[in-house]
Amino acid sequence: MKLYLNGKPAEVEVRLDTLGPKDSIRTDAATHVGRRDDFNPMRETRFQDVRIYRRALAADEVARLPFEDLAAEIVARQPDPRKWTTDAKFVAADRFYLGEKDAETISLASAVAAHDTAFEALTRDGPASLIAIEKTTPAYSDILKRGDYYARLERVEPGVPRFLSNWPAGAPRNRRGLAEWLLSAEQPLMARVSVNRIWQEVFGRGLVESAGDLGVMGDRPSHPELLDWLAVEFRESGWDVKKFYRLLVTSATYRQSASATAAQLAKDPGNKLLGRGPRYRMDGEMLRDSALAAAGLLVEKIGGPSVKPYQPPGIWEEVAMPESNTKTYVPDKGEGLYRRSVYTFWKRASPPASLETFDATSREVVCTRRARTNTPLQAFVTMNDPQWVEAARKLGERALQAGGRMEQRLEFLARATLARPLTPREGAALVKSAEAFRTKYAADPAAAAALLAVGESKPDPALAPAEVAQWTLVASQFLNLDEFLTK
Amino acid sequence: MTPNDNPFARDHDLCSDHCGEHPTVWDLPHVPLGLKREWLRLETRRQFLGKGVQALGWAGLATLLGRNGVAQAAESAMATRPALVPNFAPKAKRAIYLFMAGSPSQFETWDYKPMLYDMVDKDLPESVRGGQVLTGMTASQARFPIAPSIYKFAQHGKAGHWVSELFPHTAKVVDELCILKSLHTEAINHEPAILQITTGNMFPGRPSLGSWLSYGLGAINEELPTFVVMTSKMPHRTNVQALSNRLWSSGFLSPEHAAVALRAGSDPVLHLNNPKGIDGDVRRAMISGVNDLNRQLFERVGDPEINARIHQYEMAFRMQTSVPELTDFSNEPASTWDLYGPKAKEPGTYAYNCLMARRLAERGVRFTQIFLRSWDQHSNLPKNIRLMAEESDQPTYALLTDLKRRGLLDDTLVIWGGEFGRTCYSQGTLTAENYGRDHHPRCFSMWMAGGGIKPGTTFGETDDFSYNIVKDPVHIRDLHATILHLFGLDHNRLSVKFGGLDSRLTGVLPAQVIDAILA
Repeated sequence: MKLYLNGKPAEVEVRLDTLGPKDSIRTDAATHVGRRDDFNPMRETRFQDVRIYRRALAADEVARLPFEDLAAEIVARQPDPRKWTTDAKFVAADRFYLGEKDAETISLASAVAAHDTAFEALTRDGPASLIAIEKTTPAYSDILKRGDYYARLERVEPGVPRFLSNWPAGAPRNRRGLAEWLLSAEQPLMARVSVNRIWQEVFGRGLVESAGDLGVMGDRPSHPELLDWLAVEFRESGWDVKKFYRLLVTSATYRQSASATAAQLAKDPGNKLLGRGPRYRMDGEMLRDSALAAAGLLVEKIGGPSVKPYQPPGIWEEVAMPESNTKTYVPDKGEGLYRRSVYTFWKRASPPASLETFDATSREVVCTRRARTNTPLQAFVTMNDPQWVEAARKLGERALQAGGRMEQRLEFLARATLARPLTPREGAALVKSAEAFRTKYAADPAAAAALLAVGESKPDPALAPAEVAQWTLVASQFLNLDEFLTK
Repeated sequence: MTPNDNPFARDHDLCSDHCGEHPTVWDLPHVPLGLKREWLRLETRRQFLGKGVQALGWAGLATLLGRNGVAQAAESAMATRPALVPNFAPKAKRAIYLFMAGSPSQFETWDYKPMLYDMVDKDLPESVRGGQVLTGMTASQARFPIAPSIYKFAQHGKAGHWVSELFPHTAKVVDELCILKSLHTEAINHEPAILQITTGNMFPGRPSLGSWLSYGLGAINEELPTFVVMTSKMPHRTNVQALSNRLWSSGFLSPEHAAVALRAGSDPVLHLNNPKGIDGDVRRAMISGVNDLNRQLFERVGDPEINARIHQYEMAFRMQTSVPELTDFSNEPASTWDLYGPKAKEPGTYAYNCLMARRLAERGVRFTQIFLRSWDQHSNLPKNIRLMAEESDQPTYALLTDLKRRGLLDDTLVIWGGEFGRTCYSQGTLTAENYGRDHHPRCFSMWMAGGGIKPGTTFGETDDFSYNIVKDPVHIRDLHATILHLFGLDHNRLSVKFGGLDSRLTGVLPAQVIDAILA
């Protein structure tokens, strides 16, 4: 047996061959290409054209293989056109007419290559996506009596809740009109909801805590006048989001210390009255990005297809159908491991496990306010997930590369993760555990080597493995501090 | 009933935790004074439910803080958070749900239909089908030939239940079971059906049964999850249905109530194990250093969340010991392996998961759900259902027997079943040895045992074709109401504000506890 790929002999590695000279490979079982076992990623490959011949092919036949030419095959089988079957005659005539005579087909066919090139350019940075365009006929819906789709009542057109404000005069009844309505000065909700969401992101809770419901079922705003002032400010700035973030993060309210006295905590445990600065555990994506940034691993490239960072094997397989195209998780190599979390591939039936542990949602239903739980599973992620172990290792290397004595290295780590110097008491506590790590890894080179092997990036060969192991642990301590995990 | 009668009512909106301040209508105009007083009463109660404190999953952190004597004045409100109490005396403390995904046929399992042998290959009478809309998989069949079970039935136990020869082991404990033959659902395809039976609603985004139990009752053992899910290796792979986290998600409840998926093998909880090169002593020194700094931070900043973080890490360290102890089967006596069979030694098999379920039950895990897929036998049913039965019969029997001999069955509810039933007519060609069965939502069989269920009983009846229910129909919401009842919860009162409703597991349509099957 010989294998050809795109008309050229393919390299073959024979894994198993027990076929004797008189045996046959004839069998009733189907032949699967790329399916040695169920976990083989080649299973997911799709083949455009596979042909199997019972005879050895001549060299020119092999060269012609990539170019499908049915007419040539018909001629090869039977040179005399008078002896062709009806089907063969049809195929030959069809190819001849469409390929040589029909002007429209010829011109369309000649345009294919240009379109392919254009499509490739468009999709180079990611798969093409569906977009919405307006229908030419007006959209409508029928009111169904008790939900029965056979019992249609009144026909209704697109509209808005009348108690808010009217549809803008002269605006079309489509998305364009809706956009105009949303941005009109008479309609207060768009601005209020938007500023409340941004406030929630910056301060950890909205001025209206039920950020997804500013109606009568929702919470009352804690500072109604402030909410309205911010809404008007945002609208009058021309909906300038960046400017609005700047307004919030440069405000005196935001720049307050997060420290709280017992009296403050007793009176206002949730900081509803904004008597102190915001303080809350960051979302999983922010945490991962912060750790990668501190380690110097973060790849800040913008855009492109989703990436697959580290994930233990088996998580997708446990829930997927055997025929699913996202059955087997194969982590990326190289920069795909270190991109910002916003680029992480999302399988809704099984979201990225380490982010889900930090309350990332499956993205199946809308989420306006993410939960913020505190579980031991989260400590396992930040201590043991290879992503975090590797980040600690590279951060530890940075501390070593920065040079100096132990105290200076600790200061380096403090600035890289906490953006402040250490207090003497903190320094003393860290020195104590750093000494313990030093003793351990100086005496156990095998353990140091094993720890350095976590993650795809290579350790700095200029550094002593025992020291890198020691400082991996110290760096991991910084990445696990409440202050690092908390905004 | 008004929401204010509801001791479990808490306010939520989408995917929020229940940590922060709650709305007040006190300053709203046009609200009757009586209603405002009700609000005030609720507000007071809510203050005990932990204002401004994040939920600690897996565990009542409050208890931990109290136990370890490190509760600070600032977090006393959280420490006094009362345990949630049932509405009435519970019969079940925990449950193990053996979920047969893909839906086993009732004809080869629990619903014996001898009349069908007189009608082999005859057409299903139109009067029985009653104009029902079929799935696209059989709607175009020219005829609907009746296919009786190829497997024989015999009577077993004191009650004389008819059990298929596919379940020789379960037949030995049939006197423990209550067999329900009249379950029904609206869903005719897997995804909506499996969502409906796991979350009470065909649409995704609702809390699952286990999440409701976690929310309503909390943890028994703080060092283990309240709700555990395990998926099982399949003995064959034909028509395998997808599972997804939405089947065990917490929906609009706080994520702490979602199931923890226990994985087969050496890392049963994700990233539980230290990386190679870090041993227990190093980990201890690392956490001690971290918590030393966290304590200093608490002194400066005063945020009670920092204390929660300290205990999060201490609990993680303890779990690194307690979870391996859970998954280490080496101290199981020889009788365990006789009972569950040799496959129980292979991580991830159904037998292994059943044994794990017993160990979880012993350690106080509230709700364990084991998924076994590949029961969806549209074709080659005789061969494939036998494979599935052989995989699951002995471990199921072993689990019931093991729970019983350890005195756990009395307060452990065991549930067995799929998401819908199957048709009495063959999908595809009927031959003497082979046939298939399409989906059938109008009736299906399940069984329950232990945990306050009346043993050795059956409930509900279907017609001669097991096509329609003729007596005591049980909707999925009735099943859910009954399960909650066994845990001491009133399904009408276990609710959460979501989407403008007091949302419940059993939804808005009336649901009934099946009193007849309660012990």
